[in-house]
Amino acid sequence: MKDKNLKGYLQQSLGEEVQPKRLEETIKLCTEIVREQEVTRAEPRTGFFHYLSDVFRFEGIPIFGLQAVTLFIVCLTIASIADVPKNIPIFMPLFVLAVMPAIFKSQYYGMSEIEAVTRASGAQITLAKLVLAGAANLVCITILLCMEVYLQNSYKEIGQMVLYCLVPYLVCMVALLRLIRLQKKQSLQICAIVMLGSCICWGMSARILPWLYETSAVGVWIVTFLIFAMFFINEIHYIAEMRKEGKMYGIVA
Amino acid sequence: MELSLDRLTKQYGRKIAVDCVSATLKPGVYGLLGANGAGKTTLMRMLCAVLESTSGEVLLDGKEITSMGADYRNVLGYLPQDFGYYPNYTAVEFLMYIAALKGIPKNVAKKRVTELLEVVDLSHVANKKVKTFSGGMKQRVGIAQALLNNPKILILDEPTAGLDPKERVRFRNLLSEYAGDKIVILSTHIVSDIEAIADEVLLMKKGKFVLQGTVPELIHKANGKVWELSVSPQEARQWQTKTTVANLRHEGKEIILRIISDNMPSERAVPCEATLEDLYLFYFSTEEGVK
Repeated sequence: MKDKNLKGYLQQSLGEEVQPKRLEETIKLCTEIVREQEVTRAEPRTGFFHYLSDVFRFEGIPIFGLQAVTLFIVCLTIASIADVPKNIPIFMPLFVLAVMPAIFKSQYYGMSEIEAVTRASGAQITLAKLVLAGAANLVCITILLCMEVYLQNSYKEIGQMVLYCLVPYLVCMVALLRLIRLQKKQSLQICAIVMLGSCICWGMSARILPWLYETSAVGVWIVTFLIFAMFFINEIHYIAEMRKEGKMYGIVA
Repeated sequence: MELSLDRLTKQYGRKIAVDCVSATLKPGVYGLLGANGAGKTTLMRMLCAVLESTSGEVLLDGKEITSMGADYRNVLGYLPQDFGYYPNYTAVEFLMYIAALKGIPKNVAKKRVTELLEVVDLSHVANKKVKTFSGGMKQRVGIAQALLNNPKILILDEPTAGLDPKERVRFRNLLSEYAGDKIVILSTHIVSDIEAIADEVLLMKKGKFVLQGTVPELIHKANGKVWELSVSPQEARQWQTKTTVANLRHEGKEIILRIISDNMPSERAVPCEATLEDLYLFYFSTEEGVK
């Protein structure tokens, strides 16, 4: 605001005589801006992408490692079961479960308060971890889909299989983000229960609601996908806004 | 630079943890003194914007700190009372991680971490895992992380807890050296620490500042309230139950009691020079654990 005022004064003064009152106001504004900069911008700080690479340096191996282990277990299990497309949703919450240690790490180890007062803010830390975890999840889901196609030996149901992967994944991610936002102290435990519970639910749906996995039910899956994709984008947008404002996200004190 | 607390209040249900506290803090070392549950930690958390106030605000040079966001945290260093650590990180890794969160470029961070490990006397264990450290060493890592971004506002909650006397002296010297044109706020139960380094003391009781001033000013307030009385061992027990006894020492068969009282407790009592600890006991004599 002060910068704007200052620019306005300077532009007005172009080609005009120096007005003592305006000159005084300009000097006052300049002094205030310089004083503020002395307090808040004394040393250089890194931007978000530099920060993201720093988080990758510290969190990358655990995040990608855990996802790789989960993928390996899921692939082994899928290879040994029949009726793969129907059973795919059962395994998707496990990928979200594998993201949880990185997301809840600071809360678990009592680092939330120290991390919350750093420049990064809770929202930025969560967002950076989500970006890394999301990238790892995308790679894993793609590999999983390739394996499904290989096992089916057909591209016929690829669209359905994509939905069977993404819908449960989005449902679980939205649940995870909502639980973080609710700021419950037991978020970690609740989240773990929700993820394991949803594995059971998807398993039961494959047995109790077989029509849901028929070609005629694709519409239901698309609608569900759109709804949860909207919720997911909304949550990410919320975190991004919080990051922009430099606010906390999740449990702190 | 000026940090203003304007009618800052925090309420948990019916309990008022911080009750309409106002103060203006300019560069210097401020010692926050108070019994357990006085509201020190709650106040410090609000000063760090980790905890939202029920009402009132904290302003840095006239700007509300929560609206400043990252700009405020950029100039802030904080050591919480209870803090954790990632057990598999070494001291260097831990500090480099915090430096990354503080947005310090890697090359600057490396240099700063080395310097700070030297300052807190941990350079010989720089590459050892934090989980293998003693309580005092962990506390020193905590102090180092708070100083990483060369903060202009440094808030330390019980920084000397767990430090041995030698480490405490080292920390006090470090803080005095560091303070300069910065605002340093520290809370502690150890009155001697505050006496040694604080430019100004804020005495907190039941969520309010009951006293505020420099150490000599506060000590002056306690003058005339401290007495020494020589009694027999039997009498000593009685005095301990009816008055606040700051200290007792044996001198031959007699016991010399240091009594904190508004009035002369006995005709035999001799007035003596007060200390900050006497003042603390005077204000907190009704609190648990004293008498």
